[in-house]
Amino acid sequence: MTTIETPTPALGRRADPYKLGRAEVLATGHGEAGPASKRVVVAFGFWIFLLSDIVMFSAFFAAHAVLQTATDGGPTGRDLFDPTRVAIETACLLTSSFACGLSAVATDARNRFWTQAALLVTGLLGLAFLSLEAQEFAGMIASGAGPQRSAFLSSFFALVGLHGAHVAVGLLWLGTMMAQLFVKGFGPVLYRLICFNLFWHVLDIIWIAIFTVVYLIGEGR
Amino acid sequence: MSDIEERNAEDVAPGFMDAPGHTLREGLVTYAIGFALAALLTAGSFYVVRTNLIWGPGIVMALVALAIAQIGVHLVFFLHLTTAPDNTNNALALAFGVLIVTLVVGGSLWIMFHLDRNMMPDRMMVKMGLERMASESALSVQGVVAPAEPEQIIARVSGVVASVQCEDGMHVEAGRTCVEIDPGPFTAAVDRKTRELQAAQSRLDDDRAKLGVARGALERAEGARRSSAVARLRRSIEGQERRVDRASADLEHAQAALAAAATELAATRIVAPIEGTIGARNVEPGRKVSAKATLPLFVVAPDSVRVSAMVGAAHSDRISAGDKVVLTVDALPGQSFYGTVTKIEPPREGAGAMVDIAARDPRHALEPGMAASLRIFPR
Repeated sequence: MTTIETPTPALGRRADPYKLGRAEVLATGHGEAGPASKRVVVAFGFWIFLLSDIVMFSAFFAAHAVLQTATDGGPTGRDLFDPTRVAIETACLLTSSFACGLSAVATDARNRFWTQAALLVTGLLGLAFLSLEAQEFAGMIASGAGPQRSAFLSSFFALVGLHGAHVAVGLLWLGTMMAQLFVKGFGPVLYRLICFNLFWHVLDIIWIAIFTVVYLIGEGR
Repeated sequence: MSDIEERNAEDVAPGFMDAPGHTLREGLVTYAIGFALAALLTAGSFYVVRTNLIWGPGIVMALVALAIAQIGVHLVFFLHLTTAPDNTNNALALAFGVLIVTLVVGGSLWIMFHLDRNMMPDRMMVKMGLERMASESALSVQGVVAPAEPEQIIARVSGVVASVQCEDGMHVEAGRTCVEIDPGPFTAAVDRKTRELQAAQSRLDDDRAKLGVARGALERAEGARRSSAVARLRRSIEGQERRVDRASADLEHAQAALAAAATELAATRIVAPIEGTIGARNVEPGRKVSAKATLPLFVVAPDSVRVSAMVGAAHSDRISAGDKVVLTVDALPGQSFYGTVTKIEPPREGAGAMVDIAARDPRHALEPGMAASLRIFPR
């Protein structure tokens, strides 16, 4: 009889149970495989910025959650919100986020045409979202339910408006990048595209919280 | 993937190293799965609000769960936040972000909920409007805290006490059930009166039907010019009309009796008439209580006090019942109490108008005889 030797992980070598089939991934930036690639570092830095943005949003969310019932006898969420419009807004933003993801895939393949096409769809859907929101705001203000009507509405306009401002700035950024991509090619725009992807997905995450807390829960108050 | 290999040099950013091992197909599949899951969860959220499948108060929890699930889908499939070693820093940063967000949102809700309960009864501050607080239209007057008169909780029907739900020293809202009298006899009475009402109704219906038949016969007899039959039928109709009148009077009587029985049944649930603190308990389960008893079952010391103030004749016409009042007393520095004007007496010669104010005092800090400084905010 011969003993069957089972391969044992050598002691002192890192037996990472979380590689999940990505054995070739080395833990760069952790003192093992050299410094992290610039892609990782840039994404991390922008991720930190996005988290700080989320923390700022959390303050607006807290204010709105506290003031959601402070309507001062004025209109409530149930009177003001149109669930159909919110559903369409949500669909626009989610699809826009998906298109943005596809642009990242096209960027990975260095395909300029499809990158531009996906970015264009991203931007158009973002614009559709923004115009729906502007329409909603204009309707509310015209019917006397502007931000000065009650604490509830002040916090509503502050929170949803802040998100809308982020989307507007994102569209400006997107347009600039598409022009740069057209003129200069991928080289200088690559990291900006990665950052924009993160930014756009995070805006969608914040919108999830908004349609849940402000619209769906707020409608029941 | 030949176009990846034939990449131009200027297509690569300085210092750029690609994330390893992603093919075009993998990338597309990841985003498509993420999009499908996110769309499904979004549809779920909008469906949950409309459906009756979920118990009302549970809807908020369901929405929060769906939102967290969807945020998770976005993080994994769109932001590619994985457990891979390169992602450890991102995941740690995210964990810290979640901690801060939880502290800010959860902490705000927690603190404001407590403040709301303890400091702003009836959301009075919100109603008053802070800009009005600062306005110069406020009238400053002096007043005196009047003795608080406790309200009595009495039984309005006699019966056996089934349960007692208030204790000495307990704080109750207005309308809270304190004592329940065994409703058995009263329910039976309501049932009996209901049956009597139904019987009276069917008698009335019968009599009306008979009257209708007799009227039809009369018409036919008149058409046939049979004068003897007409006279007989006229007499019979008069009798039947009287019966209908009696039956409808009976019906009204039965309706009134049912209403009275229902009122008595409702009175078996004895509630606190005002918000305040319970005291002087005089009731035990199983004992009988009488509607004629002079001793109350409980007394409730109100959470509000009455404050009387004298307002100069020149200003008295600016005040009306319902005006908001903020008051302070020297004995309790730093504390404010909120109230409303309940009554104004017309100004007397040489004096002013007596104004009564009901001020909320849930901690019973104000004592009779304390001198109070009031600011009245005329509307």
